Amino acid sequence: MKRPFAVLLAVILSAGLAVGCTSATALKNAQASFDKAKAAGAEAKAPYEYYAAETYLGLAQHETDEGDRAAVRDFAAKSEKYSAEALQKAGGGAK
Amino acid sequence: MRNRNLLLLTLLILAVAFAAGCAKRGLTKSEMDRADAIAAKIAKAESMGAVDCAPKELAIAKAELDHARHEAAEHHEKAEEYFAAADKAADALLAKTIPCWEAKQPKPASAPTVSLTATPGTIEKGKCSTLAWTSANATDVSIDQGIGGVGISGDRQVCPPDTITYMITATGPGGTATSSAAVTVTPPPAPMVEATMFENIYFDFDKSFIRGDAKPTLNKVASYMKKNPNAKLQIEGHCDERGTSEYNMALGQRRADSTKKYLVNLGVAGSRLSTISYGEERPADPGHNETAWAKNRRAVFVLR
Repeated sequence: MKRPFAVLLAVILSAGLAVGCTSATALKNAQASFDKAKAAGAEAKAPYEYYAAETYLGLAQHETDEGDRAAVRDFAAKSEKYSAEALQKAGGGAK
Repeated sequence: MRNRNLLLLTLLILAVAFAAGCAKRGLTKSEMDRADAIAAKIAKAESMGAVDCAPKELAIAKAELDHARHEAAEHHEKAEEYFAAADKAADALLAKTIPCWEAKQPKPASAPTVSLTATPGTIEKGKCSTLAWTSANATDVSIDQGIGGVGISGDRQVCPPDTITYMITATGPGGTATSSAAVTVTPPPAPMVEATMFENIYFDFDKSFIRGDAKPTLNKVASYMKKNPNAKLQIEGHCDERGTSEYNMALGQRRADSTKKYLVNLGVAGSRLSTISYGEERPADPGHNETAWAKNRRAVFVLR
């Protein structure tokens, strides 16, 4: 009976690790998108989208510190969405 | 068996812990009201063009409200703190948006102004006056009395047969303005009537004193003037052709003046007597001999 217990613990740990990795990846992707928008001059060309992306990115980072991974994913996704819009308006999107 | 129970217990604890950690509570009514109030401020700012006027503040306010809602759902005790931050962001958004919106509002059109003058304002019948006008903030300007549409400023000569008032109307986006100017038409002065009832008086060559033969005529003139207190008399001084024009002009004036002085001495008010010299310009006889010259050295009486 020791074996199933160990398996279960491994599953739980893996799941927890996966969730953590997912939020970390989301934050990383959001940051990358924001950097692209910034490099394309979105601050001047699409200020609303740019600052929305920046603010949500900050909130995602804040939630990372708070340990709220769901919020990290949620805010990171919003940041990424606004970064994409900013990038498109700034003319730096895919042609 | 014991291990199995331990396993189940562990699973139960984990499930409860997971549920407790992930479960979200609903917002209280006051929290929803608070969120709605902040959302209304943001919506108001958006309707006033916040996306152009204050894009940064708009983005922050919306994200802060989103964050506050999230935190309220997660941590009841921290909700107020985050709603306060969102509310502050919404206030900052409005503070920047409202002046920007006001500056973009179209300003009300200025009311038109117009002025009309007639120069001269009084004319004799048959003479003309000049209407002049200026206007501001007007798109259409017209003058009545048959003139019609005119430019926003200008002038025009008018020769009305009778006294008339012209009205100018200026119309623009800001309304209508009017101005008027009257032209008073007076009858022409009565034509000068040479007082044929009075004979001319004559002077010696190059002299301006009143001769004895002129005095009966002057007495008649003085008598008439006294009987007709409204009558006015112009005394013309004339000369013969000898001498320069300038000299004769001065000599004619001395003859008119001495005639006037004589009439004044007879009691005629000087204000009713005017003098003028025609020098040698208007001879009574165009001849070039002493007979003609004697007729031309004269004073003539003209009733006005």
